[in-house]
Amino acid sequence: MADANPFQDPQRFERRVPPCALVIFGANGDLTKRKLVPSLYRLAIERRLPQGFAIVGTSRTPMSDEAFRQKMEAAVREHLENSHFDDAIWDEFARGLFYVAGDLASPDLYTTLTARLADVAQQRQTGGNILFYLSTQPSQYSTVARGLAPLARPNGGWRRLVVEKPFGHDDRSARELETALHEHFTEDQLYRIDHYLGKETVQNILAFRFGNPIFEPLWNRQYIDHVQITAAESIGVEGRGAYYQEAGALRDMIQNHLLQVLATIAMEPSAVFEPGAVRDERAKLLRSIRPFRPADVATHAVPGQYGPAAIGGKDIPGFRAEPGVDPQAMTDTYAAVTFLIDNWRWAGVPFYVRSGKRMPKRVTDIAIRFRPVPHSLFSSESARPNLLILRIQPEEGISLRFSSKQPGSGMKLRPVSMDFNYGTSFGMRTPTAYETLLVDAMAGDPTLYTRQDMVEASWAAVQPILDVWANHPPPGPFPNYPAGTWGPTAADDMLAARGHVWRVP
Amino acid sequence: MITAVQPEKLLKELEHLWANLGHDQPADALLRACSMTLLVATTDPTDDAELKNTLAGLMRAHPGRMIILRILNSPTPLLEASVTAQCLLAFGGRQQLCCEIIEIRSTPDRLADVYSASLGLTVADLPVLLWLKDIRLLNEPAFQPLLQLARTLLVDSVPLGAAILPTLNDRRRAGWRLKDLAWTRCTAWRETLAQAFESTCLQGQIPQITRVDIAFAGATPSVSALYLRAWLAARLPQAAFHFVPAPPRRHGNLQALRFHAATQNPASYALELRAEDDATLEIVTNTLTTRVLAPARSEVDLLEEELSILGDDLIYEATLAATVTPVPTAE
Repeated sequence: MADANPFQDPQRFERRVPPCALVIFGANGDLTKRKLVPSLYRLAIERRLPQGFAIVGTSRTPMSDEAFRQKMEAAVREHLENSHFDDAIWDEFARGLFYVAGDLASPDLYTTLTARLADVAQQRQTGGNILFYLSTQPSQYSTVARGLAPLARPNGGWRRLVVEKPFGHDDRSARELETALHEHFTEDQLYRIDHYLGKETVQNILAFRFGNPIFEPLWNRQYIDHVQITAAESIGVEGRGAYYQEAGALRDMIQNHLLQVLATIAMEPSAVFEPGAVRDERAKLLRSIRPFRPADVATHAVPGQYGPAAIGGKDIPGFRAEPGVDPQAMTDTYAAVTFLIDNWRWAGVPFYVRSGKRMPKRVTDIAIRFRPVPHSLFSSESARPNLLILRIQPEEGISLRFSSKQPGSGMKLRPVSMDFNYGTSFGMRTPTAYETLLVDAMAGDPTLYTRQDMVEASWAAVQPILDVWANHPPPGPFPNYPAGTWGPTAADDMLAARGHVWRVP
Repeated sequence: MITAVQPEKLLKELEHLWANLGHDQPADALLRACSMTLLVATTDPTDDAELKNTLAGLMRAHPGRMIILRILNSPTPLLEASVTAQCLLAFGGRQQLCCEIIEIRSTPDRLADVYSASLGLTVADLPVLLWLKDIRLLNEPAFQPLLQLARTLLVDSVPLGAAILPTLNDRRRAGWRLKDLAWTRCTAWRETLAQAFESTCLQGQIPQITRVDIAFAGATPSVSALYLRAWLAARLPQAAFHFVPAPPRRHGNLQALRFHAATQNPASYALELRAEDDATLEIVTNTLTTRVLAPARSEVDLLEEELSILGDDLIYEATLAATVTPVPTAE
């Protein structure tokens, strides 16, 4: 499609955003204060917001525009990362901040909001373009979508709706949510945010795979032995005990973030780098994940829950002793799953995915282990298989491990590493996932957003595990791993059954 | 003083330098980073500290082997070289990122030796760029062979003004890839304008724009102003362009761009982009005035922008070509 703006220069200018208003539901909440408004302010610093950009915050708390501005200024000052707070930019940014108080279930809120948005469109020349952002409890999504029904079909401009995860609690509730949202918004108006896909390093997987032809011939069952995806957190539930107890690691991390990462690692190249094409390939991969039969679950999935431990001289409570958590909770604070992908490229290659809280360190990475040499010329101990590690966080980068001759007489091999480090190679600040994703939504690019068929395919992959875990308590008693360790021994046994071991990230 | 400048010897000195830098450090504490060879030609004998600061600033995002060609007027022939390294702790990293600098000092009569030595010092398989810190070298007969060292030339045309534009065009036609910091200084204006015209309402008015005023401070419009006129003329072929003098509100020559639509009162305009002060631009439409931060940019910042464009810059090339073709003007 030809660009209607002849003044663009894509080689030099960042992606442009058309004039618009962003309406945040849940504007008094944590996400708004910690992520959304600081990210938008960062975009303002980098001149990436359109002229007249406006934010209309809504929540139940009565507040004037001015009070909202002051609250957001305090939030930005507290949560702005790697940037200096600039008063002049804030003043300009704050002129576009407005606030509407009301109950999400009350039609009055939407009447007031409609009038306010008309004023804002006039005052800020937003052209009637509106991005709605649901930063509320998931249980309120359908209520808000219903309330926005009259606003969802514009006379002029565009309307889009951003929805935060979780997209349902299971496959059934995900479909119910879809029905509720689709009643008022079409699929191309819906932007389901998975902030993992907005991370630079996750996007870099696509660049690495499809921009470097030397790896593609190796990227299949013939050369890859198995893949390990790890998302470990060293912290516990940090005050989110009540929420987390209902979610668990499988729902909170694997069903969404890590399956999206898996899909990015394993998808086929799309013909073009366009939203529909890329998302089609991701969806196709997710649909290729082999569904578990109930009998398979015990051998392919391991739940875990951390117990108390002393780490570095400090006593760490077990999950059941965390505030807001039921002392008998059966929540999985750790989950490890062996996924198999039924297609020609990946048949027989296990994808081990694990995520847990209170692990020894915070790390997210993907390790691709290549097959060993077919016949070793050297001692079997020294010739280790190649390992490609894509580090998502921290120390984002890529490492390739291979064997090298140790200097000296004889032929002793030692593993060495070739490292690419994002920070040192580019030496500049990378945008946060929310900056990337907010610009994409305003610019109408859903490439990094999840589509309904992807959501359903992800639920289909984990639902049998959830069903079995809900109906059959785990074989060993919870807790089954002490805080500060790499998870339950049953997870090691799961890999050992295939002759593999978890690497230590 | 004449000393043979032998590439192998200099490269060996570099190896020693790296070995010494890494001495007593953990194995991964230093990263010898290289993404290009940047040759810098200068005739200023006093810019040593300033130039090395600029190169250190560049190395953050564009690490490379920097070769300074310092051409000095001296009664006695001179040819000598030395090597140094610059290290910095990269953003968010724990490794020191280090780049190497080779400096060759020469009198103009030894430039042929500088050329042959430089050929052996460029890093294999990586881009080679030549920054003519003194743009007058572009017209210097003795310097012409050194232009063959790189197919990408970085210049700042400001010191020579519009008179250099035909020469730049000759180089462009001869196959060099040109990068002019006078054009880079237009980015804040062009980008703000492009952002304003993301509004579908303003886009609808583009065909009606019949006159553009380019306000400048100083005696004559600068090369940047000429570039902007050429760039705008290609996008608004129906419009006439008028340079108008204006009081300075902002550092530099450019002060405002005013777009007049045919349907309007001639005194009014569809959009004005104007300097508010040294750090701010203002976008003014009929009902809305907004400000964007656009402070004056450092040389490092301008160079970084140019270095980030790896391939052809078709928009600049077309603009450069258009600076030597007539543009409709309003009298």
